[in-house]
Amino acid sequence: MPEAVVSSRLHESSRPGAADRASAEASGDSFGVEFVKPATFLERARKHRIFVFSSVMLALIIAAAIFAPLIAPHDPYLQDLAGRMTPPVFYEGGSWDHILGKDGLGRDYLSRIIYGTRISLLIGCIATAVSCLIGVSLGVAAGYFGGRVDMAVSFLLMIRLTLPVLLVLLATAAVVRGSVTGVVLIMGCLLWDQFAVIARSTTQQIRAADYVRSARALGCSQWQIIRADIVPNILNPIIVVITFEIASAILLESSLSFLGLGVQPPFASWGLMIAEAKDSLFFQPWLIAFPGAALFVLCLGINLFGDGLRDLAGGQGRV
Amino acid sequence: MANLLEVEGLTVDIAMRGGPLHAVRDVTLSINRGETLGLVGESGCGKSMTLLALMGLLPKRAEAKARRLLLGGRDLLAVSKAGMSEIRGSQMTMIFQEPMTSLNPSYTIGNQLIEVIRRHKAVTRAQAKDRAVFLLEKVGIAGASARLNRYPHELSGGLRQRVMIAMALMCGPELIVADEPTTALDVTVQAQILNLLGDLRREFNMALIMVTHDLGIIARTTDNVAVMYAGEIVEWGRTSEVFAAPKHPYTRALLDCIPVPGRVHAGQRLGSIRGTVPSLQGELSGCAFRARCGHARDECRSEHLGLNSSDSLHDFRCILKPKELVV
Repeated sequence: MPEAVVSSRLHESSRPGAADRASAEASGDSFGVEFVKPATFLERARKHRIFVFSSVMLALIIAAAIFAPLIAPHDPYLQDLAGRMTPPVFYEGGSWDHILGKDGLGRDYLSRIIYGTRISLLIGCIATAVSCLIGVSLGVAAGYFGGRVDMAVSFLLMIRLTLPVLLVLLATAAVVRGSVTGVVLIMGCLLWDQFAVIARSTTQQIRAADYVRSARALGCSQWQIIRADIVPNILNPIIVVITFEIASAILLESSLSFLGLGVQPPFASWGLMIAEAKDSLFFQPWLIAFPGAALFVLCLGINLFGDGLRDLAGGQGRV
Repeated sequence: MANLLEVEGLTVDIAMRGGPLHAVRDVTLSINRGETLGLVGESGCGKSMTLLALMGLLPKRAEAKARRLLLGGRDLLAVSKAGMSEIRGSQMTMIFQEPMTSLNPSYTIGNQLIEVIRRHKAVTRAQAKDRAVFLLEKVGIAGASARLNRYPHELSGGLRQRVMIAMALMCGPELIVADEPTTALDVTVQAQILNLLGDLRREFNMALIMVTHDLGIIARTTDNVAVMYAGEIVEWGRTSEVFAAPKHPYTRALLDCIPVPGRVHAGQRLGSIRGTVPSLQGELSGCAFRARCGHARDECRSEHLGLNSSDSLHDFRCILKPKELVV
């Protein structure tokens, strides 16, 4: 008999959170029927290796972008025609002074890549912010009001999906030629489709939730319900979409710059650097490899981060 | 006679392919401050629709009509949509069946309680917070001020339903409408919540309309009861009288379905009412319950009775004399 008691005790205390519950009861909580507090977002995130890895990766890249003037070894715009095409340090003729060598105009390649991070992140984030605003507004309206609004939004979405983004961008970028702001805004106006789709379907689910019904019973207006009940509760999937959209906006910016319609020289953009290096592809392949690798690492980091967020948000609890 | 809520001739039609569905037919109700009214009936007999119509929360396809709809002397039929959402929450409010999902998971309960009152009344955050703590204590939540910072998922079902009740009380409503408030809770918590609702109703002198299919709850907690069948009230009266001497065969049959310990023996079949609720589409001809009624006669087919008063306090819709019903 005593053994049974001991073993049940052991069993009790080995259950996660049993101690929490006991302390909750001891601290005078009324019923002692409170649920075990689920692990907070940070506690769960710490255990997700890919998430931790990609967070560190992104943190480093963002730090490099913010502190570019402090980190970059040289002025990225300083030309040195005598030292053009200096190879990186691990090639014959390279030096530690210019670790990644120099480009066709003799500018320090590492510094240009570090400064390129700024352009990529800035354009990716602003374009995504614009498209998030457009897409979420349309999607929430369609999901919440349904009926004609839904039909109108779905029609817009269909039109948007039939447009080949790059071609439209090329046509419009030619109109605002030279204006990076213009290009960013146009990108924002073209990349909202995912946001609208996700916002619409999650809003439809939450609209039917009991707490929306009880909010109405407590006299909330539609605007209050959208602001307080709908938007905060669709944020999880939206944040995941944001990460993926930033990555695709960065790639799109690079494509545009590569085609000569995005960021204009002498600014350092990875797409532009690839374009400038393509003529010497066979003789100085590293000129194309470094900005390409930078692009790859950044987009990989963002996508892994988004994947991790999706995993973490999929569990119960809140982000 | 100044009742808090007076409903006369309330009808709810839902547009359907093949004609409208009459979810609620010509329902007349009244309730006074400090009273509890029970609405009881099988699933699909129009209980919840009646409540939603009162609150102005019907789904889009449903249309409510009434000859009279007065709350505290104010004509709700003449109130605009915006006006209704002003009245909801402040003068009348509704508690739903599912406490587990009736709170917004993104905000702490304190935040939600405070928002409710600030939506309707010009109070400061501090005042609203005081009221929230006061009401959480009133609904029996110990350590209320510490609980304000909890998220709904950190609370049990019983606690959440208490929070919902506190939220309903934030603006001091005159009428609370509860749609099966305890169905999702286990029996011991259910008793606590029902006692709580009763106490609060007395303390704040509110009227309470309670919908349930549990006759035990009705018997214990309500002053008056309306038995609904196929969208109409078939019997209405003081709860004690209706339970002691039901005058409609449907009420009788419902009461016979309750298993009573000692009276039901092992292996004996529990009582049930054979058949199902008739289709609510189309008009009723004759008595809606006749197909399932053990006392049906030829007259039941032709005559659709109004509520028939034996005395002014106990109405029923049946051609039988009360004596004939006694088995």
